[in-house]
This record gives sequence, C-alpha cells and structure tokens, in this order.
Amino acid sequence: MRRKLTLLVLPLGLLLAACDASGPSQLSGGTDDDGSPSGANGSTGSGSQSTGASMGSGGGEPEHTALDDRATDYMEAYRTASLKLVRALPTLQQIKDLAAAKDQKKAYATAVDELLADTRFNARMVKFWRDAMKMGGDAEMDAAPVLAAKIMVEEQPFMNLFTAASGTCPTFDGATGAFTDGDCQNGVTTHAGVLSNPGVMKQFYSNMAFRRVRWVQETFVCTKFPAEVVSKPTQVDGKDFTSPWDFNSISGAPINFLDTQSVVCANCHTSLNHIAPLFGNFDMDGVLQGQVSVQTPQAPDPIATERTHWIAASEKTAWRHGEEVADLPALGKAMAADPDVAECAVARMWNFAMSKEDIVNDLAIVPDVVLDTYKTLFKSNDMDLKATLRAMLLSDDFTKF
Amino acid sequence: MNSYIAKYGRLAVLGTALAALAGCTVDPPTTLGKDKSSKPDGAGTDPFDDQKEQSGVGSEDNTFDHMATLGETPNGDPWAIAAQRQEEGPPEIRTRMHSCQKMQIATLRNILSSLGVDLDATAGGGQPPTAGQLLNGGGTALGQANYAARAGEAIVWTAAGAAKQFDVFVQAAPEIIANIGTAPACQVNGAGPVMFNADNTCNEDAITCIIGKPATSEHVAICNNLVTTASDPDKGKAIAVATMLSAAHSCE
Repeated sequence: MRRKLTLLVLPLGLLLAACDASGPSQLSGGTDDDGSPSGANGSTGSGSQSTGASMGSGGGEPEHTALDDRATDYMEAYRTASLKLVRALPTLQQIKDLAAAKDQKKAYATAVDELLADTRFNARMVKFWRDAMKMGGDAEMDAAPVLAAKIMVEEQPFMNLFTAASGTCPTFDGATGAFTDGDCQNGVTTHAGVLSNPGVMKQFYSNMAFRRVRWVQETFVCTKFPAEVVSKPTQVDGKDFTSPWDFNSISGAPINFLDTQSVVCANCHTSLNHIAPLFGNFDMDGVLQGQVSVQTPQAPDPIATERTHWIAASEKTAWRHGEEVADLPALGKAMAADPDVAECAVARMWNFAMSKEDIVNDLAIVPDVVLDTYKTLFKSNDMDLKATLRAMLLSDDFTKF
Repeated sequence: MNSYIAKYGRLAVLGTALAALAGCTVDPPTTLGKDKSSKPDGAGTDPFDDQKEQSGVGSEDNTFDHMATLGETPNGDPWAIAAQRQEEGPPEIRTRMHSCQKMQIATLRNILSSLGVDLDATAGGGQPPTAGQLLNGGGTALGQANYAARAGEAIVWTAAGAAKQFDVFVQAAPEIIANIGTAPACQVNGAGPVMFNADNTCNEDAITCIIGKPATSEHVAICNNLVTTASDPDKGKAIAVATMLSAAHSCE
C-alpha cells in the first residue's frame, strides 16, 4: 500500500491545478478535516448496528452520512447474493423460508453458504475471472480463468495462481460445474501459475511483451503503470523522474526509453522493462521458444527483440526495484509475497460484491479503511479468497441498503 | 488537505497514466534526422528517412501506440469518471454502499427460463420477436463480453442495454403469466402461484417469485394499478409483469 500512497503524491500538483477548489468541500459528508474516514469500519457481520457515522471535527457529534440512512435487509441481500453467486433468483420456497426464519441473520448466513457450495458458483467464478482477465471462450483461453476459479472454489491459497508448478491448465465442465486438472503444454518446464499460461501469452502477445506485463500489472496489482514511484523525484532534463530505478538501467536504443521530450518514458518503463524479458520467449501462439520471440517496433519493419532492447546489458530482470527475479517461477514467488497483489485480489472481490465498476479502467478504488478487515482476514486464512468473499457477503455493508 | 489528496490523488494517477498514453516518443518529428536543424530538401527525398528507419518509429507522428486499456475498447473519459466519483461522494462512504450493476446476460437467461420462458422460441411470420430472439440477438446492446478484443462483459448499463432488457421483459411477460404456475422456481410444497387472481388482481406470491424478494403491499398495489388502468386487462397484465421485472432487475 505504501507504493499506492506514493503514487498519489506524484500527480497531485497536476490535480491541484486541474480541479476546482470547490470540489472537495462540496462533497457530501464522510470525511473529517484531517481526511480521516468516517466510520468505514468494514465490520464483518458482527450484528452490530454501527452506522458509520464519524465524529465531526468541531465537536464530537457524529457526522451524519449516507451510511446512516441504510437499514439491514436480509431479503434484499439474499436476492443480490443469489444473483451474484449463482446467477439466479432464490426460489419462492427459499424466499419464504428466509422470511419466516426466527433468526434471520443466521438463516441468511446459512443461505449464503449454500450458494457458495452450489456448483453454479463455480461457473460464476469462471465467468468472473474471464471478465477480470479479459479472456476466455475456448479451452486454451479459458485455462487461466478456470485455474483462478478452481483455486478460489477449492479454497486453495490464492497465490497458487502465480506459483503453481503443475496443473495450471485445468478445464471446466459448465454442465456439471466440475473442474478437471490439466497441465499446460506449451514447452514450459516449470510453470508459474497463470504467468506461463499459453492462452495468456497468446491473448496478450505484443511488441516486446509489454502487453503481457500490463496484463500482470493491471489484473493482479489493480493499477496501471507507473508501478513504482519514489516520494522525492529526481530531475532528468528538467523533468521529474519518479522511479526508484537508475535512469540508465533501461535501453536507449533502438527504442529510446530514456526519452523525456513528451513524457518521461522511464517513469513507467524502468519497471516494465525489467519484467518484460521474462515473457519475451513466448511466441504469438503462447509457446515457449529457445529465444526471444517478440518483436521490437522499428521502421520500416520490426526486428527481433534482444535483451538489450529492454534493459542495459548489466541489468537483471526484476519484479520491482531491489527484487530480482531470474525466471517466471521467481516472478510468481515475488508476486505472491507482494502485499499489493493480495490487496488487489481482495479489492476485486469487494467490488464484485458491492457491484462496483472496474478497479483499473473505472477507478473503482477501495480505500484501505474499507478493505483492512478483509485484507487481514485474507492473510490470516492462508489467502482463502472464497472465505474472504463470504465475510464480505455477511458484512453490515453488504446486508444494508 | 488529506481528504483532498485522498479524493483527487487517485484521479491524478489516471490523469498521469493518460498523459503517458501519448506515448514515449523516440523523437518528435522536428528532431529527426542527422542534422536536427535540417529541413526536407524539396528534391523528392526526405533526409530524415534514414534516421526514421533506425529510430523505432511507431507511427507517422513518431509516437508509439500506447493502448488506453488492455483491450481494444477505449478508456472512459477520466474527467467524466472524476465527476461521477465526486457526485457519488467520498470513497470511504460510497465504496461501502451497493452500486447498480447490470444483470449479467447469463443471469437474465436463467431468470427468464426459471419463470417458464422458452428462450428458443421463435416468432411466427409478421409477429414481433420473442423474448428469446431479442435476448439472443441483443448481446452487443446488453454488454456481452468480447474476449477476442480483450474485453469482459460490461458491468454497468448503457441506455441501449437497459432498453433492450425492458423489451425482453415485455415480450416475456405473457409466457411468464401463462407458465408461472408450473415454473420450478415458484413452487411451494409442489404448487405454484397464479400470476393474477380470478378477479384480475395481482398475486403476492407470484410477484415475490419474479422479483426475488418478498413483495410488499406497494408492489401489489402498483401491479393492480397497472392492470386496471390499461386499455384492456390482458395488456395491463403484461405491462404489470414487465414493469415488476424491469423495476426489480435494473440492478443485480
């Protein structure tokens, strides 16, 4: 999260100039003068009737917010949960049973557990990950989303998505809701979850493997590049260089990533170029080759990319500055240890539960104060994303409307 | 101030990212060529050509194409997104409240099927398309995924998509009225409700079944009003069912 906070500082000057001064003061309630959150407790179904009210800055009186106007409605929550988890309405019998329950909270929790155990939930998660990964449709393109869904449904540690060395191309039977183990056959000796998936490599093939890196960054870190930003930029050609990397650690030819005339390319490409070589040997069909199999765009014709097109000869590949990774399994381990990756998974689940838009393209970012409870839960339960989703569905926030 | 940062800093990230979409120029056009001050000689040759061939030029503007998104669909207007987020309120508040997600197409199919609608039915000559035909042919309007273009199914409605769903409900209503009594989703102890009672009033259980939560007296009253104010009861019943469905299922 420290990275994300740092990311916010850099463009602030731009925004201070761009946003009119009346904006923040006209927002309706919710934050104190010091910016502290107003009651976003993220409680997980404790049954409390916390309102989310905050203490006003001037006196100690709780500030009334829209959160206070919500009321618990387990029937509405059940309908929404059912639509989200199994893509169907509850039956009339189920509705009546919940409505008649003496302990409606408990009955709702039971109903949610039934939905999570339903094989239709498996299909819904396959679809969720198809949409999140922006791929699917046939066995090859489904393998990565299916792996993510399988890990989630089976309550495996979520980070297996990046570290699983085998069984990384499972299949899914939509009629039965069953997963079948399968290995990817694209020439990779030791797989790294979806990071070596042939469908992913094929779907996101591009010049210099940059689209593959963007896919990793945006799908699993939930932010666009730049991925790394220092708090105190240095000056290069009179412009802010915000990356922690050495400016000259990336290539200046044949693509001049050191260009500063339009934007400082290196702000993004120092991170990007240290990852991209790891994906460079996959060809356009997603098969691993013995040599770099992507191209460098150069007029009049593209040329085969060489390692020095990305980074200086002395440089090593890395997930982040100071986190060298020699191959994709090492990259997977680094990602698995990155708290930003864990946070991204939790945030995606929150947005799924609360019907939010895309966290990257639509900036549906979830504040720490809302996610903290779930991040803690996620980490404490061996990164069981399904259990984390369950906690969200039982929370006050989900069951209040 | 912190509040200001929290609210706008995130947007600044997007702004910066979009600025970067202009791309990393190898060299702007004015700086190409061995002699950066040289100009085309006017003799049909461009002294910059040799340099272009070595410079990794990506386009006429000498700018590499940086896609706004992973897919082939354009990103939203960042300022429109900013305005929307501002209207929605502080992130600490708005993120804790349900938003309105459009119904997944598969969900829509499941609901209609569970209520007795035959999605494979086709209209006879001269008849308007069936609900199934509208649904099967309306994928684009309804925001279906286009994975070949690296785009998932839409999360929120477009006006066209919402209108399409309403059309589907209108066409599905007569079938639901006819079949709800035997629809598996609406069975209680082996028996299903009628959509309308003998006196043409709306059946509370039937409304509950089609909206997915207990019908209130207001639901029933609105339904009854729609039946009685239509030009004839049958049209009113279809309108009532379509209205109940549309109102209930505008959001997931």
